[in-house]
Amino acid sequence: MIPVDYYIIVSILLFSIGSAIVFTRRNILYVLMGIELIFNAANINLVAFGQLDPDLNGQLFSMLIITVAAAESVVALAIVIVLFKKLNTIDLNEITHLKEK
Amino acid sequence: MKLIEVVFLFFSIQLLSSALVILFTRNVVYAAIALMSTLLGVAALFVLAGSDLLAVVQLVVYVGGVLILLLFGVLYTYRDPESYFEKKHVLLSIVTVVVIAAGLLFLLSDLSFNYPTLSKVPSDKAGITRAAGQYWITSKILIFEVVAVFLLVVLVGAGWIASKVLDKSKTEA
Amino acid sequence: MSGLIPHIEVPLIPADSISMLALTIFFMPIITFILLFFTGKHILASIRSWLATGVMGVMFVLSVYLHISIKGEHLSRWIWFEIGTIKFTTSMLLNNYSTTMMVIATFVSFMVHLYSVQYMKERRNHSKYFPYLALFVSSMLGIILSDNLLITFIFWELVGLASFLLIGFWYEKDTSAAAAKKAFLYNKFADLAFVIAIMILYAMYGTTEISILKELVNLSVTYQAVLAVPIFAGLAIWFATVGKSAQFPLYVWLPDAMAGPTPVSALLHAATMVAAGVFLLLKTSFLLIDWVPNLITIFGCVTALLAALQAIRTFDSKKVLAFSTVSQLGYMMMAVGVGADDAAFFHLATHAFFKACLFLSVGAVIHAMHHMQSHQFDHGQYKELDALDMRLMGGFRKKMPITFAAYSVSYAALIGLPFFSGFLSKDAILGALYDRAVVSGSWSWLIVAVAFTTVGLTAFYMTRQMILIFFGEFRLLKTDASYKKYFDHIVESEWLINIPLILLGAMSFWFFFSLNPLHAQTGWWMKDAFVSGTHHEFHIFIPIVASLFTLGAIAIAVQKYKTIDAFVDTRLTLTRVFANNYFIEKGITFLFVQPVFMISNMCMATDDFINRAIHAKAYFFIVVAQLADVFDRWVIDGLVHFVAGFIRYIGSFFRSYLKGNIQGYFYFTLIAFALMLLWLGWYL
Repeated sequence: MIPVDYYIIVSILLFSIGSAIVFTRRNILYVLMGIELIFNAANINLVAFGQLDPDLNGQLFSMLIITVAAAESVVALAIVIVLFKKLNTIDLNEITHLKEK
Repeated sequence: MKLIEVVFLFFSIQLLSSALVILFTRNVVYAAIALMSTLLGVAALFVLAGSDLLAVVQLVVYVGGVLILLLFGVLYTYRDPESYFEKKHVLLSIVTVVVIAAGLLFLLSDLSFNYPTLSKVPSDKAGITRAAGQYWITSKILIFEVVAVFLLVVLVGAGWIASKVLDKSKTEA
Repeated sequence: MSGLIPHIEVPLIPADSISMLALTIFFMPIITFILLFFTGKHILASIRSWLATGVMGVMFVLSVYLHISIKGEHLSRWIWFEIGTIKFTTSMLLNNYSTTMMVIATFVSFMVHLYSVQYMKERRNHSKYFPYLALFVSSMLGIILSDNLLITFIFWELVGLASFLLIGFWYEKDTSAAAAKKAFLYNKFADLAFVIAIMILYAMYGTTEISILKELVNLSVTYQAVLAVPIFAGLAIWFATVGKSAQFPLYVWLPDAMAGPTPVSALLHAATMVAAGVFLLLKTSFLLIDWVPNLITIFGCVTALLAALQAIRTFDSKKVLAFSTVSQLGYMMMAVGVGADDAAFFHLATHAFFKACLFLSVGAVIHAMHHMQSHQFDHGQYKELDALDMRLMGGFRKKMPITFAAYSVSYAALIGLPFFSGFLSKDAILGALYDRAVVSGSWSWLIVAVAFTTVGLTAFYMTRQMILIFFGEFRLLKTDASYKKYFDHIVESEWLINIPLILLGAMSFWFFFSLNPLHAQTGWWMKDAFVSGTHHEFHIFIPIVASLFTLGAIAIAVQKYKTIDAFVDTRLTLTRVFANNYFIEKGITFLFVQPVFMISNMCMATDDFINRAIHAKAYFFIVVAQLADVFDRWVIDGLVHFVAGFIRYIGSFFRSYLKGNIQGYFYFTLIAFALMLLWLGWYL
């Protein structure tokens, strides 16, 4: 068996890379990918700890996360399409509508 | 080093390098491909963790669903990647990765998990699929129902948002 | 004390058929008024005038029938309204007084209506004229019939209102409006006394029924002696009539009231308004006791003399007649004062006819003058012309013979020539005055002397007017010869105007009142049963002396005015005195108006002072408030603004780092999260 610590290290690195993608890439699609990576990092943790649980709650929870992630990406893509239709861009540097005018 | 650890190392390096490709590539199609590789690596890690059911679900949902959706998004919104403002991207990305990873590692290195030894693995040789299926469908049925309704709402809502806007753009044009 | 006043139950008496007839007559002009007032211009002018005139004719006929068929007194009383347990009654009394007065009033009104049909034709505001007349007549009938002082007061005020409306009928003329206002105010001033009288009587006796009051006053003789209350009530009622019947010093409104249409003047002077005062006094004569009658006599005497003197110097043809009316009212008041109620009433009746006739005939002349003016106006050479000025008249005798005849007859009646009605009535009054003087002596002889003098004065000013209007040359031509061709066009008035003149003139002959042309004592009028039981001595020298005075005055007047063809006023001072009504108005102003002004000025000064004090206080508070405002604005608000501005500055400093970029927010979140972790690690 592989020690849980390994999984945790892999998951931390995956989470860092995902976060970096979310923070630095300007294309919304990259950001979505980064979010998926973060989800996966979380899942790795859950599964790694869940293999010690005879009740399989970890697996159940990561199952839920996968579902939610799928739903999230559906909605997010719909929003991306809306944005592209309205603003003709998906560059986050150009989408600055939160700024006070 | 045992064989299984070698395999684990291999898949870890494979998924992390694929993730770095996503972080650094300028071509969004490459990024999508790299994402698929990363997700496959994660699925392999699931298998190594004894959770073959989740590995399958990972393949079906992520690789078969989310990735395809993302590719459609790429198709739909494609622009010249050079047009994105990506100055200092590489340096900033590396700094972010290092800072977050260092922080979390530092944090976790201070924590001590009091988890049991791995000798008590619950899964039989046939994997956990049967046990998980019976257990979830009986004791945890409510969660599945809630998730089912949630998915339905998401589907309808996403369709509504997109169609509404399409209609509007049509009338504007 | 109230035990001194015996309690008399006020019985309710249902109206008999005679009373119902009287009520019917009373309500006819009211209905006419309502009908004509609200239909207004929607019906033709001729229909309107003839409807009113016809109603008046029917009323006259009914009144005559009423007068013939009445025997004794007909009293009817019914409940007017109830307040709690107080049943307020109203009543109607029919006796010889009231029915005769009704006949006079309806006859004169009928004549005036007939006259007005022609006279007011095509005059402005015609649609209001006949309703007002109807209101006038109905109010007068109300005064005549009512046996309740409060009801009488209501109609008294209505007469005042109607006279106000009619005097100011041509209200677009300033003089008319001013005269109407003057008449109204003088009357209101006097009417206050009426209110006071009613209050005194109601407070003392608890009723306003005249017949009940009469019994009570007679019953509680001792009580009167103690409190002298009925004396003051009588005084107040007399003062009310001073206004309405134009006695000194309030008579000044009457000459000004000539600004109204001439038929209205005739009605006002003959049958309705001024007669109302004398009539009320006759009705309530039981209240005139102790020294009040003497006062009435003296004031009547002064009125008669002053008005006659004024008539001598007046050139306004209608004002001469107005002063004459005032003078004759003085006679009536004198008669009331000496207790000769029947003589007063007799004079009231005869005067009503001949004065109406005089007014209407002078009105016919004025009508002709107006026509001349309007003819000239048609030819585009309008000149201001005082159509009332006797100095511009003359020679109308040949132009308008019927008018002249009517005028002459009533003239003879007024100055008291034998064979005319005025002779009889004036003789009765003079006789009564003489009788009184014989009894009481001293100053009463002065009254008799003034009365005889006034007889002479009356003859003088009436002769003067007659000569000026009807004899000599037409003097207007002397000032402006362009009137010549219009004067040639003047002819006798239309028959609608002449018929009333003739009828009223005929009433000036003696035989309507007494078969004996030289003395009324044997006539039906003065018969003992008529109004009072007093017996009148006949003094043969009184008519002789009076006639001598009259004839002498006529001779002087003829001598003075016979050859006159143009007028230059030589005695300006005297004229000014007369023109100012002996400064009566100035006196009233000085005595009443100026003190009121003075008091109000003082009040105003006090008020002003208080105002200033309040203002000073207000200013003080304003200054304090300003200071507080400055403090508020700069110190308190300043602090608040400083704090708010400081925080805003900090906020905008941090806000400048938020550029709307989502990933920027992510970074901040990350930093915050890291700081939280550090903080957590600090404790761990």
